[in-house]
Amino acid sequence: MSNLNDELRHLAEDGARQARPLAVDEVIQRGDRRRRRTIAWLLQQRARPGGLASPATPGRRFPRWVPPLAAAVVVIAVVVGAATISSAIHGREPAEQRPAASTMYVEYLALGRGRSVVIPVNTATNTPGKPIQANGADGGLAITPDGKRIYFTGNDEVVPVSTASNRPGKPVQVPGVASNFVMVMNPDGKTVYCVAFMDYDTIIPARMAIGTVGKPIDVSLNDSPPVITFTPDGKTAYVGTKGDTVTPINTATNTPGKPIHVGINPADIAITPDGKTAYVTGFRGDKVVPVSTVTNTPGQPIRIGADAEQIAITPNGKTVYVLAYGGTIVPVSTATNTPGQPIHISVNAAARIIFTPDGKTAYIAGLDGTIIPLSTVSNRLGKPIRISGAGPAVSIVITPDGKTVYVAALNKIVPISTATNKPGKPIRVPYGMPGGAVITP
Amino acid sequence: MDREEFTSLYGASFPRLVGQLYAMTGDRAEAQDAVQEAFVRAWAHRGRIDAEHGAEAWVRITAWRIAASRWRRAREGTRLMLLAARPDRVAGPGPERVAFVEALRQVPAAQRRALVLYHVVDLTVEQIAAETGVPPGTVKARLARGRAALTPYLRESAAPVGD
Repeated sequence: MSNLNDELRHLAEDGARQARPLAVDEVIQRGDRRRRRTIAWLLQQRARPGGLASPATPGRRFPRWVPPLAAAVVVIAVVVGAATISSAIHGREPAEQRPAASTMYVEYLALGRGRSVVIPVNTATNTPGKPIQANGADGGLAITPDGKRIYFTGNDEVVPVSTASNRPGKPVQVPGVASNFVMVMNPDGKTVYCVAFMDYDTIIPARMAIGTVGKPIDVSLNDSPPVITFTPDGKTAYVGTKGDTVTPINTATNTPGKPIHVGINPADIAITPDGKTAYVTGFRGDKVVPVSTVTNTPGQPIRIGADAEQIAITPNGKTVYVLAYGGTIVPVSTATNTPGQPIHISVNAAARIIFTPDGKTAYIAGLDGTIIPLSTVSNRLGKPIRISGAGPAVSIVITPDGKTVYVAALNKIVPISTATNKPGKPIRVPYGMPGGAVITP
Repeated sequence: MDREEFTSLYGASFPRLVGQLYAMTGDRAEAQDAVQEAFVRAWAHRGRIDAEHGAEAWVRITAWRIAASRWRRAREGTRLMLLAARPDRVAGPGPERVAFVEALRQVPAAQRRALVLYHVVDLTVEQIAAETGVPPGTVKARLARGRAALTPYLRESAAPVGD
C-alpha cells in the first residue's frame, strides 16, 4: 500500500465492486410501501389525544410527496363537553346545568407563510378565535388530561400553551431533532416522547412538567414514524422495535425492558382499558398478537385472514376491531381472542376507527375521505358520510356525549351530528392544511 | 425526483456509496445494508430530495446515520458478536489490507467518516463540515487525528490533509 489516500480509495473500490444492489423495482416498491404507511400513520396519529408532531420539513406541514388531497387531513376533534358547571354568575339562583364550552385547538399550516398556527375554536358557538403562532414550526398537538395545557412542537423544542390564556410558555429544548420529529404524550400529561424522524434508535423524553429533557432512551425502533403506545396509567410504553418485537419501557426510569418477540413487524399497538393486554398488528402477515402486559409474554397469534394494520379497542375492552388493508374490518373478542366474521366496507383502505362513549357505534375513517358508521351491536354498517374537500378521513374523535364530531378539512372545520350523520355548517378558517386537533375537557 | 431520476441515481451511485460506507465502517455487509435502506428511504421521501443537487449526499448521510445507529447498539455487545461471526468481515486480499481495516475500525467513527469524505469522496473541509454538521476546525482536527492513528499502518507517509 502507498498512502492513506490510496488505501482508503482501494478499500472503497473493493466495497463498490462487491456491492449487490436489489433490483430498483424492489427498492421502489419498498419505498412506496414505506410512504403509504407513513402517510396513514401521520394522518391517523394527528388526531389522537396524545398528539403528534409532523416529520415534515420546516415550514411545510407535510412532506412534499404527500399529495394535496392526502395532505388535507380530516381531523375530528373531541368535544369534552359533558361536564357541567354551576352557574356561579347567577349568584343565588339555582345552579343551572348546561354543557361547558370546550375549546378545540386545531393546527393549520398557514399557506404561503411557511408556518403553522393553532386555531382555538369555541365549540359552543362554533367560532374560531385568534390564531396562536406556532413559532415557524410544523408541530403536532397534544393536550394534558386536565386540559390546562396544550403542547406543540417547534424547532428543537416542545412549546406549552396555557389554555386559559392561549399564550405560549417557555419551550422545553429537545436538542438535535430540528423540526422533524414525532411527539407522543404520556397519558399522565407530564412527559412527551420525542423521536427524530430519521433516527430509529433514540427516544428523547421531554419532561414538560419540569421543563427539561431526560436521558435518551436507546431502543431499536422498527420503523419511522415509530409505534408508541402507553398503558392507560402511563407507567409503561410499548414500542415497536426491530426483530419483530415490541419493547416495554418503564416510564418512571425510562429504561427499556426485554424485547418481546411477537413474530410480526409491529404496525400498531392498542392496549385494553384495563391495561392488561396489548394487541399488536404487523406489516407482515394476517395476524394480531396479544401480549400480556403483566408478564410481557406474547399469546397465541390471532389469524384474521387479511393484512392487519390499524387496530382499536372498544371502550369496554370487550372487542378489538382490526382494520385490514383492502377494506375489511375484523372484530376480535378479547375474552376468547377469536375473530368474528369480517365486515367489508366500501372504502379500499380504512385508516382509523373510533367509538362512541357507549361503545355501541364505531366510526370508520377511510383514506378516500369517507366516514362509515358501524353498529358494534349488530356489526352492520350505516350510510357512508362524505365530507367534500376533506381528503382522507383518517382521524376521528367523538365528543364524550357522542353527539358531535368535528372534521377539520381544507379551509374549514365541519361538525357532524351523530344523530343524523349529516354534516353541519362548516366553520371557515383562513388556512389550508389541517393538522392535529385536541380539545379541552 | 421522479422514477427515472431515481433509477439513474440508484444505478450510478449504489456501488460507489457502498464503497464509501465500507471505508467508513469497515464492514461490507453493514455498508450494503445501510446504503440499501437509505435508498428505500430516499424513494419514500423523494419529494424532499433534489435530484440534481445533493441526492447522492442525502443517501450517503442517511446511510451513515443508519450505520451509526447500529453502532450504538453494537456497543451493548450483541451486534459485535454478530459482526464477529460474519465470514466476510475481513476484507481485502492481503494481511496488510486486513491490518489497515482493523486499524480503521479502531479509529473513532467521526474521524473515519471525515477521512473517507476527504480522501475518497473528494469533499473539501468546508463541504465535510456542511455534511457532518460540525465546524471546519473540527473537521481538520478529525482528519489530523485519524491520519495520525492510521499512519503506522501505512508503508509511505501520506500527504498532509485538512489544510
